[in-house]
Amino acid sequence: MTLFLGAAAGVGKTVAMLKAAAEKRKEGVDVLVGCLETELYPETERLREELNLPEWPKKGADMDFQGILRRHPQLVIVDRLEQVNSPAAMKPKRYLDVEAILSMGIDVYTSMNIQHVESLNDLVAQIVGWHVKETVPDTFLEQADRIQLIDLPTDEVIRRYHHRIHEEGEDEKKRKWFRPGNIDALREMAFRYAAQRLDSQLVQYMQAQKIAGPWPVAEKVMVCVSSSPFSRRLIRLGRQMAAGLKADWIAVYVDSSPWTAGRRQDELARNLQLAEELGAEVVSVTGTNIAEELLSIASSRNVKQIIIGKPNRSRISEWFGGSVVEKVIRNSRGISVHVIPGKPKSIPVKSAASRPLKPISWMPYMGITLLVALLTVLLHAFELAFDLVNIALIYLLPVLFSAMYGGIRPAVYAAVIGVLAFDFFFVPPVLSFTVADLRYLVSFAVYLAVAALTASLAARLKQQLIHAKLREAHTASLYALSRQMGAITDIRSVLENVSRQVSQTMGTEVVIYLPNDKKELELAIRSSPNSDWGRGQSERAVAGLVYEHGETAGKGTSTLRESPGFYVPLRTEDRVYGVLAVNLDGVNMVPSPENQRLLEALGGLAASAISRVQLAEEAKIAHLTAESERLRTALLDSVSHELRTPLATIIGSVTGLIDAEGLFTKEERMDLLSTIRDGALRMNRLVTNLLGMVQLESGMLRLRKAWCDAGEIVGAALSQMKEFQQHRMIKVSLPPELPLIPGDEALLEQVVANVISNAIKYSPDFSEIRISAEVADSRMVISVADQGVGLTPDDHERIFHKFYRSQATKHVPGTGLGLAICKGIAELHGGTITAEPNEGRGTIIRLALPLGEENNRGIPSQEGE
Amino acid sequence: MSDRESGARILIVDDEPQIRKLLKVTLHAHRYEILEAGSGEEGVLQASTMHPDLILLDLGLPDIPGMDVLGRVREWSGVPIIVLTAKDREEDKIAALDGGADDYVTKPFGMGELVARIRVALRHVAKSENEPVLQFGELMIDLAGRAVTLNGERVKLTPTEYDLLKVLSSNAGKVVTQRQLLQQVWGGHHHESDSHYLRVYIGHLRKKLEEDPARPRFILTEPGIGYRFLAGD
Repeated sequence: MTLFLGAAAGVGKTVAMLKAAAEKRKEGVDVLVGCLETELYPETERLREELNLPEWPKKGADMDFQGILRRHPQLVIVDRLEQVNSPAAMKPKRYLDVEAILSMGIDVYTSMNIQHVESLNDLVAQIVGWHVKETVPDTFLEQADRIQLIDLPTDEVIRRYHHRIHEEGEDEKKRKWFRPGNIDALREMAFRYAAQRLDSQLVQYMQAQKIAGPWPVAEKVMVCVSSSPFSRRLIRLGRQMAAGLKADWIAVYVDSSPWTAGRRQDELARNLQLAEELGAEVVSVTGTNIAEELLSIASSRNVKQIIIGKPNRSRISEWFGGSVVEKVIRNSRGISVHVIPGKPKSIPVKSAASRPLKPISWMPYMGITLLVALLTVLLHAFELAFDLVNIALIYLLPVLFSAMYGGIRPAVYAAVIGVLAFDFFFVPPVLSFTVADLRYLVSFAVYLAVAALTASLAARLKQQLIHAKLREAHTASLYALSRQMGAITDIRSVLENVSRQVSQTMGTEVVIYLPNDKKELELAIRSSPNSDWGRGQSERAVAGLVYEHGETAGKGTSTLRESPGFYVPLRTEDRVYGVLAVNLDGVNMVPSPENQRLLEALGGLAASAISRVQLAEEAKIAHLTAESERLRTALLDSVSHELRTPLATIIGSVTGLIDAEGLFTKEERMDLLSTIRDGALRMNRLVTNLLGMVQLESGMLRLRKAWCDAGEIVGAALSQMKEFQQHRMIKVSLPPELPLIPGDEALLEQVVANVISNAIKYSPDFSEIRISAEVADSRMVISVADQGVGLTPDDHERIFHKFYRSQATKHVPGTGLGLAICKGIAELHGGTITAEPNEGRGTIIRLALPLGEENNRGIPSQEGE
Repeated sequence: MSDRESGARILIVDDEPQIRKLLKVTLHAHRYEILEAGSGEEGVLQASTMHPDLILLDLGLPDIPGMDVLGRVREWSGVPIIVLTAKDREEDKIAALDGGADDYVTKPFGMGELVARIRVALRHVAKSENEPVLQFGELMIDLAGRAVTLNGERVKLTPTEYDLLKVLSSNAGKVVTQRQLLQQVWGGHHHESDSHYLRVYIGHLRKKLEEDPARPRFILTEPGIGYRFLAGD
């Protein structure tokens, strides 16, 4: 970045800048004019056209930095760096736009006058008599690689100004500005500033080149910040001192609890932000002893210079509270303490918009008056019973009460009217304010002192209580949220919890945005369902910005300060999960640093909860994938084995027959041919099973229901098995009067055949297989009992799972599909299939099918599944 | 088929009765004597008692893994073992070959191929261990003189190339895994990634021996497993 710095308007910064840019353009650099203030200075526009520099159109009054970023030139010209953007703009100030441009690796030529340097603000104000509002922080200006000082003799500057006012008309403020004294001072400041920068560059160069020199030790400057507007001067001074010493600096605020509320909080936030903008490290601590806290930070941070303001307090209050400044000085031990006397009213600070004070409630005063009156009446009635001392003590009661419940002002009021009532009604001469015995005056004084002390103590306690409650509320809401988060397993509830918690804590509405599948931010949840806030284009745009950069934005931050909302990214260390937006429109407050921190903490919590839930979901998916992977492998192994084996026999036999036709005897040829047939049949069974499974799983299997006879089904199944029966003894026992059952005959036959073939497969030669049918519980039960190897208790359930093979029967080839298909078909019929151990040894498979309604012999209508 | 090979006793270890039946019928027709085992245990027992000349071993046995059968037989016997497997996973084949199998055949297989493999394995055993000169068509390898001639012309080989050729040709017809080659030629421990050495040297050998290195006659690649030196008949 190159900064064209001038002392005043009209010295020719813009012209110089444009000419320099035109030179660059001749060298082949892609130059783009980001913005020129052509309304005030039309001649610059003419010059731009003469030099043939392309210009990017402005967005209203503001530079369209996003458009420029999209266009991505090599060099951008930005006039008037100090400009404050219109409230509609993305960033509040133009230098922030430039920052964004620089961060994209685009060089910038920019121009500015010296009075806009933030750290020189007070100095300028002292010279010209008012505060310049448009300022640019020094830290930003330090980014400039080169500063080009544009200067004109003072009289020439003024001559040009007078020349211009002929065209524009005169302005009181400007006329005051363009006085020779002012211009001289500003020119000197510009020279100094440029020289200082040159000096620091020289130092950097010497350091980089390892040139020996008296390098200052790494020491720090510490500025003590309070909520007073005066602190801003301290901060600027601190910045200047730190820059002079080439030291880091920190701004410290000690939260001594009771006296920071409302407007002061806003002021404090503004002060700390200023410090941050000027490059300070901001430290905020809590403690009752301000001086001690300050010194402990100073000693732990290697601070060598402390800047502290001397408040405009009366001697008495100093005597009471003890001066912080004095304590700091007394215990500073080797640290230089710079005490800056406060004169907050010498320069009126207009920017601190004063709000109307809270209207004083008259209720407590009325109550106190009544209470005192009542006490007086009562005490009068018992006057004889009490000493005057007792009465004085009793008058302390209203003071204590009002201190407890009303604060310090009502307490003082109570003390005063207490004294008056005591004097008037009880101290002789009664019913007169005159005091006969002067010793009573001492009593009054003591009474007032006691009242003031107790009142201030009680009020302090009350304030501390409020403060503690606030803190506790924050902690409690964090704790509550974190506890709730632990138990939540879905994102929706996480969001609901967060939005509810935040909206309760902040007392306003809250929305949360999450990215959708396409990585576009979408409104995920809102705390108040009837509101429309958060849907608008502007809110979404801000949320998008926050999501992209992972930094807070909105009210009270440096980005989009004018926006009515406060936007917090939900971020963990490595990722932004979404954006939490708080609507501060109706509430009309800038979130205090404390609340900002709380929101950020809540955002962090929410982010980690979301990430946890997402991880859990991913783990679940991974588990499912692994499971289906396992199934696929099982299927592949099983199918590959089951298909390859019969294929191998077929191919082997056929190739054998073809290759060595002459070698085989007739029987051998027959043997090979029967091997081929068996292999083909086995493959057919497998393919049927696989297709059946696919149909069942995809829901394509449709039942063609008709009335079926159990006997016929068993018979048909048995005839299928004839070829494979081997030497098993199959016994069938069917009662003569079996009712018909509604079902798909072909499928039921397949079920029974599968079960019987299993019984054959898993039982030894010459063992008995018993097939029976009966009616039980209005169900037809067909049982197949074998005397085979049997199953473990677990297997009785699992053998019906797809691809499951019992450990005991692993050596028998099979796919683990048959019984799964049986189960599918049985369930399609509204029936069940179960396994149980046979008496003695082996297994019984029972197929139970519903008998159908009323069992009339009408044909049931065709049915899907 | 020469008479010397026929009559050899072959043990079939496979749990599938259909496969056993097929092998029995076909190999019997090729005049081999057949022994059958339906499980791994039975296979080990038969191998020790019946002294087969060759074992056809299915890797997917129900009782004990085929690899274990292989290991147990190899503890005391050098009988040629051809592995039958329905799994066409490369690592299984490599493991079997490294574990001592002489060759492998993937199911489903053509009978002609299986019989040819059986012959190669049997012939290899029949060959005396210290035959001084190996002859493969026009390629002659003089083991005693460490000399290789192709079409009567001397081929100049580096020591490593010669060793590689020696290992491959003395296992002519059989698959030699990459690991076996690395161990026998380079010795010591080797890593999977060293296989690129092998590739380079095989490339050199092919350039010197093959007419068309892209379509080799002598040194065939068994993808993912190793190399096979073709006997050239």
